[in-house]
Amino acid sequence: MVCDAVATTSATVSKEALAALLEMGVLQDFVKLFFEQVEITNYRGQRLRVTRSYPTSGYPKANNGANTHGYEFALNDSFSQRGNHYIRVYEGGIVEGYGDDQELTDKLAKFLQAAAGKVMQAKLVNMLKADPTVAVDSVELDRATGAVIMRVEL
Amino acid sequence: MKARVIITAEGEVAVMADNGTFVEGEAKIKALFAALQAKGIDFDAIAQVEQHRADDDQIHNLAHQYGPGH
Repeated sequence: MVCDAVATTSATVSKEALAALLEMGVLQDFVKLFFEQVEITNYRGQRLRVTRSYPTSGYPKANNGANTHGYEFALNDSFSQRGNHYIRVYEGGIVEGYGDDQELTDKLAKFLQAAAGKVMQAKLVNMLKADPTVAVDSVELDRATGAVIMRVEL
Repeated sequence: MKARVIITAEGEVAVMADNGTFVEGEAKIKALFAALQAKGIDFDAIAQVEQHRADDDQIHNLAHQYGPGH
């Protein structure tokens, strides 16, 4: 189906543009959603939940040690025997935990990237719908891949 | 000109013109990306617009397997 197009090309939205979508205003909502949808348990098998969150700032390595705004999320229990009572999420979706929490950190970072991708999909669909040179015939979600397929008239 | 726009969850945007000529399709696809860029969407790189024919599926498959730039 793809191969009989008369003209085709593709481009990838920059990582910076995706990260910019994970600004302070939406971080809390996405992290809350993560702990609701993804079951993370501690070493005793107890499910982790966020007990409270508060704005913070820090110097994450992933941002070259630059001072970055974010939120600190206190958890109801430690994630590992070495202790992990909070996790920090900075603007752009940078996740840093406390203690031995690589699994939680990786899962949360992946979830935030996917969230940014979904926000970008919605943003692009709305932009194309608003473009006077594009007539949108249909918009479908491919559930298998998560891709949005728009059929348009250019 | 009928076209499909496929937006993946990873931020890849692919546009395929399904009828008309290559020249027309190339111009409209370029215009579409230019419009998105003008509205502030930053792309890493936009691959060259290509023509795909139904009789060289092997080339198509390779092109899709390795993606733009390969």
